[in-house]
Amino acid sequence: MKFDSISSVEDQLRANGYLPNKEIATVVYLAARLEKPVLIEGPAGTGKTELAKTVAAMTAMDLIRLQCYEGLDESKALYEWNYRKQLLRIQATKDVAGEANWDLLSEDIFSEEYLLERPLLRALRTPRQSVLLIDEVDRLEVEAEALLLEVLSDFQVSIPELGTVAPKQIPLVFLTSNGTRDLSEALKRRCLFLYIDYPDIEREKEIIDTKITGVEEALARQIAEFVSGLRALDIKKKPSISETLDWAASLLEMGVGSLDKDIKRETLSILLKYRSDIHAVRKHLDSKGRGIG
Amino acid sequence: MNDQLLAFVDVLREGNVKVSQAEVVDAYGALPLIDVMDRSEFRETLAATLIKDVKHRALFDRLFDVFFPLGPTNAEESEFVNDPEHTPSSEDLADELREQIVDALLENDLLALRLALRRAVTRFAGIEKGRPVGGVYYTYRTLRQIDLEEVLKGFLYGLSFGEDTTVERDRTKATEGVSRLIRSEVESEVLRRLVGDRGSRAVAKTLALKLPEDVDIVHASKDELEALHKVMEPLARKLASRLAQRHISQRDASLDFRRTVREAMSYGGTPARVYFRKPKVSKPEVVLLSDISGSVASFARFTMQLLYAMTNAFSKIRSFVFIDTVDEVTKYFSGGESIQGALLQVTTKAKVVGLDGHSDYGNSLSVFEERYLEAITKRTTVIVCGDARNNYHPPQEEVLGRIKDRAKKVFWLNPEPKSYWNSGDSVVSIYGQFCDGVFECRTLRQLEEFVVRGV
Repeated sequence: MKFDSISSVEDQLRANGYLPNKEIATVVYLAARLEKPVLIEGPAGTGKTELAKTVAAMTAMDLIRLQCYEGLDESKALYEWNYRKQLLRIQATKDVAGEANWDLLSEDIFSEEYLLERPLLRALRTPRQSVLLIDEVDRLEVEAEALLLEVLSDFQVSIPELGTVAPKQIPLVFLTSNGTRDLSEALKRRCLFLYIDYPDIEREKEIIDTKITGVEEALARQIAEFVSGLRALDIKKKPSISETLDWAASLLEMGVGSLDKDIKRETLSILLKYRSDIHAVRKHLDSKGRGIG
Repeated sequence: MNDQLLAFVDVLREGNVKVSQAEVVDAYGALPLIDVMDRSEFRETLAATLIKDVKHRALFDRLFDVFFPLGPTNAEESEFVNDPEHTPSSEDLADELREQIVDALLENDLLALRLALRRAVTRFAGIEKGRPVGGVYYTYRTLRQIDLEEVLKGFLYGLSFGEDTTVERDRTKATEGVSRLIRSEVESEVLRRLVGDRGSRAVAKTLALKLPEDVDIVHASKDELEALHKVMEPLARKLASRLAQRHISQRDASLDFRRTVREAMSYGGTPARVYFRKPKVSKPEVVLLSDISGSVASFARFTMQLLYAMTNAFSKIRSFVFIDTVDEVTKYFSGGESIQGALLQVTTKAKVVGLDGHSDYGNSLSVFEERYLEAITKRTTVIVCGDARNNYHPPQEEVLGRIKDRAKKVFWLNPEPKSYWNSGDSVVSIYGQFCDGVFECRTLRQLEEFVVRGV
């Protein structure tokens, strides 16, 4: 493992374009050292998925991704038998021999040749260590969560016809959740927990600096302050980091050197995605003068 | 330190944070891998292994400060404290310290700031050993002597002379940040002394820290209310999706014949997999009837806020408020207004006082029946919020009976502790006979339980 200290994790993440805080670096480090999965929660657009991708990139590991959705089941997450191939095989055998071969045949069609690997199984069976990203795990139904438990605690998968599949290596696992429901205690107990909130002004300013080249320091600060003020308001959808970056890029494109009320008013639609939000913030800007930011 | 960590876990558990044995083992397993003398590293490691719910983090942080306070007083500090020659009068010392604080702030020197504030606490807080207090008063005394206003003035004055003019800073924001910093530094210093005096466990006990969802809503302090608001929005989202889930799974899915046959073609006509239609989602209709008289107003606001934050879980929601007469307030919530704005309009615009402004449940119910009975259909769940303290007016419970006959369900949420029910002018059991359930609902946790089971 390449992680020998928390600060080295911090440096590596930074070098790969992800600005961590102490919390993030600590948890990534512990996950690698303790070989435990990390459950990442937080509002949408704060870099949860990005973190897993960056860790994969900086360690040159493969990223194996399982996108969760309502209705995801074993055959999509773990493994599936290749029905068609099995059927073909049965038909091919029938013509030649007859019923005597049944035992042989049943053993044969439930062998590895007919097994389709899905992300969870693949992450365990690839010879090189990989990063397994289980995205939006809160979208799974409660029952389907159980699918993950065996993989996350023992890093193995039981297939009735084959027995238990032992891992070739222990993957680095990240689960993300937008918190639309509480995950089961059993799942949470197996994971380290990391909450990635909206960044504070300093960190967001730094993110703007790194991601958008050519933004003046003063402007970056103004942007970060204004966005952080927006997030404190009671609005439907708070601007995410990517929206901040879009806004910064647009401002740069427009040749804006410093923010004033009119520019904020005109470009709000880049940051906010609901009419009622835009309306409310405009009203706020008018009433408070220089109010937020 | 081992014992201290176990005691810490113990107190977390007492505060309703579930920490399993496996998680404690994880925490111990992680400690050898980190630098435990680095406080933030230590803190994040414990948080990552022990705390699995962001709502628990604030409590964790407060208790962490109690159990693992900042290191012992260092040499530079004792030099100041135990200098017998150097004992200026309170005023002189206050002036001197204020200067140091301002300098430290301007130079962004946290260590110097901390030292100055430590001296201030030593001199001004007047901490009495052994007294079982939470330290709020000590903090107040210290801050009063330093005079925060003066510090801020000095800070702003210094800023305008500084070289830092490239960044045009918002002044109110800067001062807010500074006063928050000073306050929290003083608080943690006072806390550190209290812990040194009486031990972590005793201090944790006097602080009586609670998770936001366990705070008594009616009697919550300003800080507690703020914390409550923070957990409200994610909670509402969770509840909404949970309700949606339940309404789906309750219906039996019917066979999707067309799709099943189509897919069977690829297996030579054998229906190898069976497909089902997605069931339709049925959502409940809610009528909310809240007492907004002084004693229970904050609870009514909370209930409205929670239900409106999860409107997409209901097919329809109408709300009414009353004191001695009733008024409909649905329209304030339907505009583009935020929930906070809507609540403000409810408190200022709703016509709920007909006579004397004392709660009259009987009259409110009968006015409701007269004017708004059409709001209730056989699909409606009616939720009444109030303590049923009727000021000895006639309860007119038969009206509630007629409402129940029309509605699907009637629930009563009472923000009073159960032991007070039916004492004095409370007539909750008289109304209770016409309800499908009467629940004590003092905390967000109880409110959440009700929504999950009831609606």
